[in-house]
Amino acid sequence: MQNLKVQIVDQLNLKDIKPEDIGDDQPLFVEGLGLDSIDALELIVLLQQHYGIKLTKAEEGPEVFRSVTSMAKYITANKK
Amino acid sequence: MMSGQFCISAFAGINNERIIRNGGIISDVNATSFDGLMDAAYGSMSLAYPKFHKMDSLSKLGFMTSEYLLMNNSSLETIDKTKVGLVISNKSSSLDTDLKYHNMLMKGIASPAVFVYTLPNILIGEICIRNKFKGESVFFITDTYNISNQVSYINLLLNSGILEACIGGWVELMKDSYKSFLYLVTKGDSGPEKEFKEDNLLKMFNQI
Amino acid sequence: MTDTVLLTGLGIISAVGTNVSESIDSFRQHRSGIRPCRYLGTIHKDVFPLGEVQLSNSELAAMHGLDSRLSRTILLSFHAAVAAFNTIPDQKGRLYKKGFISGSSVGGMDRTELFFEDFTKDKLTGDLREVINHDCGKPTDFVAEKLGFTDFISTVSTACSSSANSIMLGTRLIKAGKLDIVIAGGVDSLTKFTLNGFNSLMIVDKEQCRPLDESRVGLNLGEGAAYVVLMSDKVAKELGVEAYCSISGYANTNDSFHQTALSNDGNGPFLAMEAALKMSKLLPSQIDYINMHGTGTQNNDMAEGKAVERIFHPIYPKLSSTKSFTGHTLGASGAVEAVFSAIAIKEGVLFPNFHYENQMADLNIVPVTKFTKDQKIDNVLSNSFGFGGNCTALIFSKVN
Repeated sequence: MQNLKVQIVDQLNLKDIKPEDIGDDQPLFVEGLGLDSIDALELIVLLQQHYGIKLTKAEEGPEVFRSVTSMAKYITANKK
Repeated sequence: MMSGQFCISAFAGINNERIIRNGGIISDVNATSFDGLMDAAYGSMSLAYPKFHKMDSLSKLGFMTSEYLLMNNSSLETIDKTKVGLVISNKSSSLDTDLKYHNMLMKGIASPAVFVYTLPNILIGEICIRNKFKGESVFFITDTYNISNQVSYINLLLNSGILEACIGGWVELMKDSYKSFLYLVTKGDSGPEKEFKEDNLLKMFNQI
Repeated sequence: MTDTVLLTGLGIISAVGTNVSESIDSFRQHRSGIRPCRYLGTIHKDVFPLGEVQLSNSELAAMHGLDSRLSRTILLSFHAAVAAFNTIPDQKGRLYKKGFISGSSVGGMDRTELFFEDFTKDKLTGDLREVINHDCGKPTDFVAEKLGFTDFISTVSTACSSSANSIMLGTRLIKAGKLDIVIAGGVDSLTKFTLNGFNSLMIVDKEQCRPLDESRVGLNLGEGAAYVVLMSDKVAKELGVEAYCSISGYANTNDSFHQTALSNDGNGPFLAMEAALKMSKLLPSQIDYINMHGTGTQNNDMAEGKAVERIFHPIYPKLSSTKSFTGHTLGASGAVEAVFSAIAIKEGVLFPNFHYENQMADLNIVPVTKFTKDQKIDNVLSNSFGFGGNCTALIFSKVN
């Protein structure tokens, strides 16, 4: 999960945030991280680039990207 | 209102790792590269605006120049934001980012965060989002900076009452070569050297 | 200086036709230009339908005696600009100040991406001549020179509102007495760059798009070029030309919300439409037709719909999105839709949406679904909203 946090910070250019500052279950899309719709799309690219997972239904996004924990679970279940 | 009653209330520019603001060099920001300069400037202004890090180089250049332009400037405080706009030009459009995006495409990565910046007027959008400007804005592509046309255009917008203040300028970036120049035009008379006209702007542009 | 700027000529090429009459015919016969990909060499060929102009570069070039290796953007621009140019009668030795203003987002990208494929694999290959015309300004310069419209040449690059802004600028220059005749509009050709980019934003429909429909999932990309001829009423009289309509109102605002999405309530669009109406001195009830920006994305249609309702409530004019036939032609869209707006007034016709079934939840507007003739169309509002929050509204009005 620490690795995933590093990837998230890197992919989204979150320069003001350290990976260890992101809580495992912290909601990703609230004020604190300042993430927006483009970030959500970049996380889809992250899944594809690093884990070979293609998320093609935008509706699945909110659940998958709710927190680092939910992302990690999705990756474990779908990793190629 | 006739021309001669608008003044250049501030100007700023960035070139060769140097930031100029109203004729003076910003001395507490030092760097040896464009990226380093942007990070140092962001840090020195304590901006707390994380969206900055997601911008492409062209938008960072324009955005940072606008932050220096508007810093400690109270001329816009009483102006309705629907009457503040921007008229900007450059030569290379968003080509620097277009090439970066294209390189990623060749590697099979279609990055939405990079694609978003493959248009030059996104830099106008970033400045407007930051400052809540809602007035007219336009971006022109020209081989060289045509100050005369820009002055005519902004005069028209101010004289017709479409805008009460306007940011004009040139924000150009292509690989390692960049130069930005932004100025703020508002109503009022601040003396002949700040009168909104071509030769005053040219003097300021040449200081960058 | 003049107050009245007339639109006296048109030129257009898009997925629905290579000229004005072919285009109207497509709407009359309810034939959408959105088709399986035929010309663009993309890996998404079988995935996304596109609004492609049904001519190859060789065919376009041959029509005008141009080099077929030129950027498709130049070829399309030239085709439409020449058609507009040909509507201007012989100036009988009078010297008029002439300007050419063109908007584009893609420039010569179509050739550059071909160059890059070779270049990336081997830096010694790739023909550098392919990238000479990459700049957004190059197609404009090329066409302006061919037409001899060189007193004022300008390229506007504000994404999807580019050509609407070109028309606005042309109108202003004529009003200010700086130019006498302006050909204004824009062009964009389809590129893999654009298709991949829009796809990464997940706003592209794999089927025929459904603007203003509750079930819409995104846009279809298109390509094309369109130009209008603008002149003062004085110059029009001197040349003995009749006008399609006048440009009676226009405005541009910034939504200042997000780089690529409109604010939920459509503030930028609202302010632009409101300001354009104010300039035209028309009441909302006097608008007979709105050519919506209507891309078919969830965000645009909701924001634009809300803005329209804020202004026109409770009685809404007839409205539609012609992008359901042409696809989203990006930089060309403002001018393509200006052409349709002018035709609506001149011919008294209403353009429909191609496919519409479900009213948008929370909104009352319903688009026209069938091409309709014999309508009294005196005033048309045309919207164009570009990434970067750039919102433009143009109003066209009948002249007596």
